[in-house]
Amino acid sequence: MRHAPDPVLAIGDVVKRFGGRTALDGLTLTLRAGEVFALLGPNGAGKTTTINLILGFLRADTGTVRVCGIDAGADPIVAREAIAYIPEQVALYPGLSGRENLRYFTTLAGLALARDEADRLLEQAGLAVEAHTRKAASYSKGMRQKVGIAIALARRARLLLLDEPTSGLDPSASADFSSVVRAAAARGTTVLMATHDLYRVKEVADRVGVLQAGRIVEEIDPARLDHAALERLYIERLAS
Amino acid sequence: MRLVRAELGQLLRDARLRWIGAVLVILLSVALVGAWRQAARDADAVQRITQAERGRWLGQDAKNPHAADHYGLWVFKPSAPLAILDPGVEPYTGRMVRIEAHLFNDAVFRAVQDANPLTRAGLGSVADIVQLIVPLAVILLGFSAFAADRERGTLRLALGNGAAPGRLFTARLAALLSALALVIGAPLLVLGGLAAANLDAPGWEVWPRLVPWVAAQLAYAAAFLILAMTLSLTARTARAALAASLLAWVLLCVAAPRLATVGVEAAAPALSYRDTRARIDGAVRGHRTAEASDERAKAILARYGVTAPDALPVDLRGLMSSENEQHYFAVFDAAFGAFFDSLLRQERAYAWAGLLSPRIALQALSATLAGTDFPQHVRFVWAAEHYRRGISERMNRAIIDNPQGGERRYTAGHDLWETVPPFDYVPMPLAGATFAVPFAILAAWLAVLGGAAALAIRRLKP
Repeated sequence: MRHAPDPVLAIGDVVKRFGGRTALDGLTLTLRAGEVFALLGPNGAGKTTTINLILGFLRADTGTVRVCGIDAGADPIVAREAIAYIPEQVALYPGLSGRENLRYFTTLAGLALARDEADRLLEQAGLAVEAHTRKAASYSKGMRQKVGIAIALARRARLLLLDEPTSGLDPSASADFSSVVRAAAARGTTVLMATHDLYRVKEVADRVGVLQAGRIVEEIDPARLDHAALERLYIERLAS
Repeated sequence: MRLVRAELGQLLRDARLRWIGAVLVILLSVALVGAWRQAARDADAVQRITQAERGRWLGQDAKNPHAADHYGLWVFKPSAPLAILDPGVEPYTGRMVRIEAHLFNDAVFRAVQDANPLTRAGLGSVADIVQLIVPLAVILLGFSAFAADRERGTLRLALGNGAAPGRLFTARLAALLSALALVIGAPLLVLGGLAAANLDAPGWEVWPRLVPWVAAQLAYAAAFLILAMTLSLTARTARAALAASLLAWVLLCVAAPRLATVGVEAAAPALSYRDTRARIDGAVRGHRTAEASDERAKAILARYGVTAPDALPVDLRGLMSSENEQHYFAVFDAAFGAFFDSLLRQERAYAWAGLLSPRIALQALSATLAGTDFPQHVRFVWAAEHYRRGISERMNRAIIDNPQGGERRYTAGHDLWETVPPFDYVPMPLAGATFAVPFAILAAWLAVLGGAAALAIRRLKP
């Protein structure tokens, strides 16, 4: 008898409270290899808390978070080996160039990245060649985001976590970003994206979860809806 | 290794390292070269005076040996070659003792009497700089190791992309330690080695002492580095990490040694020097009365079965003088033995106070390894005293063997003076030094701080 492989991400009935406030209230979510899941929700819905739990930066009060079968609460360092993460604000070392930042962060993760390979990844992430050797102190938010994407790509991780990945990106950079996400998913990477960007969600996500008050109140197949319908449904859900 | 290289690369870009490194190298080199020049001048002066004293002793006129015993001479303790790195108690205890009949003289020629204001402020020696300034420099290098990353947001990106906190901490520690080995260890080993080898004298075991001495200084710096980095792991901001580290420096490097001194004085009080001298004076005075002297003379005559001194086969005054000396020796052994024992007990208690601060542990370990600790001084004091007793016994023996009486007066000359060998101080060997306690305590500090760092690493949050 063949067993189904472990899901890449399995969140089971997670509750997380901060003092008297409940941030997550029985969140359950399972993602399989190659899936792109968008977590939609207003500010304070629990999106960043969910990501922090997956990264092991927080521990759930109850429930479990497993990454590739590894308990992220109990063994966060091992769990993070399977994760690549792009925060909403990608912070880089201002005194290093984009290429040096990329090579340094990948070294921290235990990877050796040759200069050519670093340049190829930066190009793939959409960073102009002339910016590769420029100090990151002069980068715009979008450029820093692209270096973050290159770091994530270099990791070839099984799970890619994106926290508001397109906020602050210009339309062209957002479009580049969509193609990077789709390409990663095509290679079998599972993507969890916390966002407000309905347009990008419709474009890249296989499934959408609407998170409200710490639980997923609706799961949507974006392929079945056009942009306007998706937006309407989302607003209705938040209002209900 | 790749990660350590990457961290070294990051470190070398940091202007702080260049500035702090340059200041440390200059401070240590200036202190070391200054101490080297002073030690070379002192060694030269000691050699000249020792030769002059020997010449004076050998060149004295013919006289009664007891008068020669009072004529006396000065002996010197050779300075430990590593005193240029850590003078320990040497500047305070004196290196020169006057050897003369009946008297257990104190050592004089205390370098602290001629000290410059910097030395009087406790910052003149290499050891002072290592113990007080190096922890500050290390804190300035280490406080931002993680807190600055946390503040900037780079820690979140690094941890979220698979950077293992333990490996990251180890790599940053290794990179900073390599930098410290370069700016502290290298000048101490190279300049210290050159100077100490130049000043070397038999029995001082310069290299077997120097290598562990430098290693101890680096271990001390490493303790403060781990402390600063651990606080950096937990502090929300770099500023908070710096404030906490500076507070720790004040407590460990400034407050703890003072507290420890007060505590040790209360827990292991030393005998008073004045009381000790008073006890000796009382015991000597009681022995020197005319009545007591008559009684001893009668006892000697009775022992030989004669009634008059001229009938003795030996010289009565020489014999009495010798027996008096034996009494004084016993008095000195008891009184100064107890006095020095009480001071050594304090030294041992102070070494245990290293549990309060790594600075205290290093102070004790450093001076012991350098050969400038208090037990080394006590060894010199007793070596000088035994040399003095040897001269007294030799002079008294000559008098005893040459009875005087009536018109006969005994005078000795160069032949007798030459039988007195030059004072040859053999320092306490490193193997005989007691450094197990401060060594174990410094190692324990490293282990405890390492454990605290491991805990903080496990709980590291961006």
